[in-house]
Amino acid sequence: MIRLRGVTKIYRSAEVVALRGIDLAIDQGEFVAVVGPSGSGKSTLLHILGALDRPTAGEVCVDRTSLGSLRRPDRFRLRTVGFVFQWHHLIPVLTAAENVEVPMVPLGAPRRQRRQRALALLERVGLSHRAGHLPSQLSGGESQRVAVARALANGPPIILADEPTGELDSETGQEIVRLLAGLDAEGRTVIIVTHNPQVALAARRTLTLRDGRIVDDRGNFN
Amino acid sequence: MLLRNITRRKLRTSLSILGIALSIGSTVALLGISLGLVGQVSAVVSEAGSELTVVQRLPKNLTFGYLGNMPGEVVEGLRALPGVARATPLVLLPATLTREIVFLIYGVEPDGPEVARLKITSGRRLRPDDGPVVMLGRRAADGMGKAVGDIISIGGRELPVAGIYRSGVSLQDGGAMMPLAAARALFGLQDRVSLVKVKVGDPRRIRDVQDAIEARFPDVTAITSEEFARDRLNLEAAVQAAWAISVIALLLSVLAVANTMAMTVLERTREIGILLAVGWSRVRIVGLFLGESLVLSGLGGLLGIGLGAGALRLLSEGYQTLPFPASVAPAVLAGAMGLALGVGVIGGFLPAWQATRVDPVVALRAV
Repeated sequence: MIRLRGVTKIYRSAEVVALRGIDLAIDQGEFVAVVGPSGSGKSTLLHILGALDRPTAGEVCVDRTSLGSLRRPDRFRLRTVGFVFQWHHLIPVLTAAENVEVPMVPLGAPRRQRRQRALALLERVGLSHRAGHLPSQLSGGESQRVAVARALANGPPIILADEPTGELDSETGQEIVRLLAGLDAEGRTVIIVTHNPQVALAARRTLTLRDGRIVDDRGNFN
Repeated sequence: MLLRNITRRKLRTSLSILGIALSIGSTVALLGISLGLVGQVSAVVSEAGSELTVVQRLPKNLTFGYLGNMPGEVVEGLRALPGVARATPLVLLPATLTREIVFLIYGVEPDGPEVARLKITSGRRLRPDDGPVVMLGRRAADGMGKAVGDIISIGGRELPVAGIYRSGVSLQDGGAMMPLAAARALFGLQDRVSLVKVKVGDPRRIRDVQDAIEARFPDVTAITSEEFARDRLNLEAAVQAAWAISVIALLLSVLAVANTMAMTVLERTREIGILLAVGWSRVRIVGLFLGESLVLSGLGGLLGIGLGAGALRLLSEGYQTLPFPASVAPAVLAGAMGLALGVGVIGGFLPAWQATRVDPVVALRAV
């Protein structure tokens, strides 16, 4: 359960107001698409939800925990959210399996257990045969699937995806969307920022942002 | 995880390791030579259990290499002092045989402890009735290609080689010994001696004997053998110079590590962003970078120690008449390793700290 009250974000260096008094509630297990033109504040919203960035004003609560009061935001990111980015953002010197293991390292799981879980997650995204490959040896779609597996590494209840299909052709993009939609069926909350109307249609709720405000919030009954 | 960046970025890793290795190697070699030299000289003057070395008091401001030139009567006077178990006179003369071959000639009492402790590898020991003959140290003999029965020419005199010895002290193994009387005659020293080694016997009485000697002979000073090696021959200056050069080499390698790690941090800004996004704490990320830097410097240190020790070995084989120690004291090796790791911590810290200042949102945009 995510609650935002009056969330405003001003980038002082550029005097840009990215978000203006956002009020929002997202229930557990929702699959939400956030759409809107470039610069409307979509990515900022996602970063704030993932405690990568702090709002200038207002409050964000996740399961009654106010993100502003977190002493260790890294712990929150570790256990509660999984990020998927536009560029897959894998670490180039690590293999697919090692990349999936990265978020497990701070939790101190033994190496063998980490590896087993990484392989299981790769299998789930259909890439068990690519476990030992470096990101440079993977296609864009494969890399993005590894990124999804990495986001699931610590079993977080919330998945935040920032233009996950932006760099992919439409067919590969649809694969990723199906993968993310499947996560919502497991009871995870999935929030996906996208330009692509087709991707947005896969979600059950679409938020439209313009100039830092939510101008539309509707359910998709497809 | 830690090792992946090191093993999968081979070129940069090997360049950094090489940089550290060269500076640690030169440190090991320089300190090995200078500390080895101090050890050698101490061994020469303190061998056969002499605790004290008696030399002429230094004229003011004159320190370098001054070995003194004492009248022979001091020797008899020392032998008469209570508490002195033995007083052994010694004449030390640096000789230049060729441009490459510089060696020390020891004028010794043929029946004294210096000669008695030598191991003869061919020929014979000096005898009390010997005239102007020499015994050659093993390394000197090898270096000059001389054997028993050959003639060497020193100070215009032709001297037959009576024997070849090994003492285990390379300053001696690279030199020659001849009877005290012959050395004095050859070099016009009359009854003078360079120094007298004094054995006290009872270690608790060393201070008393020192005071007694200096009271009896105002022109001489009795110092412990180690002090002698360090201060009188100004080897301390050589050690300090070696340290100074080493410090410069080490600073350079700190810069090399810092540069490598700073490049790494810049190149890996996005990676830092990723690690922050997936929930790594900043402390853990600093640890990752410091760890990488320590592994680099540790490997560099090991390689450097190998290079330095190898260089010393080559030097000691190549210049047989010069007293390069062939091996390095374990303390120097341990120190060098410590220095290498220090280099890693210092060189790695600033870039690692810089890594924690990264704003994850900005870092993730970096491509």
